[in-house]
Amino acid sequence: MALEIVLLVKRFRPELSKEPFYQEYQIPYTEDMVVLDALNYINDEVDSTLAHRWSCRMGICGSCGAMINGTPRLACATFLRQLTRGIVEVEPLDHFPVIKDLVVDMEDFMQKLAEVMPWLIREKIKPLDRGEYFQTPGQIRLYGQQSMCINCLICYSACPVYGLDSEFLGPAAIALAYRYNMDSRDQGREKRLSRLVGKSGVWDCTYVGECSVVCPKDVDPAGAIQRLKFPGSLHVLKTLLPRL
Amino acid sequence: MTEKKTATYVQKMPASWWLRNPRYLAYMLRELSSIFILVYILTFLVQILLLRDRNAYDAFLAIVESPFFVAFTAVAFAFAVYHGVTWWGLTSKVLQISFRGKTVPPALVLLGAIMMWAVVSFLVYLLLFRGV
Repeated sequence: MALEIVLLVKRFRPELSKEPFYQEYQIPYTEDMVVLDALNYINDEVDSTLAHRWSCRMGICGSCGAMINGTPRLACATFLRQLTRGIVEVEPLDHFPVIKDLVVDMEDFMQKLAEVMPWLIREKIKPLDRGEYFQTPGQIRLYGQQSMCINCLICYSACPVYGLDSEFLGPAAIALAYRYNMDSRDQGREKRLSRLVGKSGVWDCTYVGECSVVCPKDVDPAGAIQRLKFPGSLHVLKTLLPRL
Repeated sequence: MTEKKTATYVQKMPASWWLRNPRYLAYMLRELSSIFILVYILTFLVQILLLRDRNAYDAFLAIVESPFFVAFTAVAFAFAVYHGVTWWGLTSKVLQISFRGKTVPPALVLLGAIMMWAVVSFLVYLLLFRGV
């Protein structure tokens, strides 16, 4: 007899009801299935109305984040066999407004991401014919870990500070600010720090640390935020005492 | 940009969020520890202030020597140790100490910090109780 597994999916269909509801799906199970395979099976074979985001299937695109048995994880990187409970509960990422089923509204994060200017800022751009900006492996190591962020928003779902106050800039945006501030090619450190020490910036983080625990790319946003507090303090001092 | 007309469902965080996993609970206990430490420090400050008045100081001693207050002090001490250990645990992850071009592992930084903490505590103990 073929093995089966039960998925309990939190659904929200605004065209039918203002309230979310849970729906159970019993589907065939194999050892090599990840949660995303199960969702795709449901969508293809059982219920085509189920909405979920996905793309790469290999932990790169960051689209398939969901609450799986209460923990934010990438559906493509979570094997069903790793989950101990009999029924696998899949819900949309916590703390975000839900558009439909497992699809959340990412607009808030996209705006915050732009606020930290996650690109190389140069006072004067070197012409192309003068060649590239060189870096030593040691210089790359300073920001390599944070550059792995795939904007999957799993850290935001794990962050109770963001859950209580969505004004908070949040783990990924600040980690990316750190990534560019640590880049030897960048000259926009102070500009970013102005935003980071401002309202709802690094000081709102109380170091719960769960963002770093759940991060599928081991970016350690919690560490990056704490490490920014010292240059952040210096930045505030510099603005208070401009001639320092 | 066009105006969004999609209906969304806003998920609210339940008040019991910190019971969801042991790490959230550990965090909340760390936050709670500050209240116990604050009360202890306030009592200590009052004790110092009362040093000027012998009678009032004796009356105060009777209160702090009561079983209730001794129990409170024991709990406050446990919370202070918990706060200290977790604080160093977190700090060791944040500090990036390089040695010969390599980052020292957080566990080693934690060990060093705890040892330093123990030495300083012992010195304070000697200073206060042995009059060194």
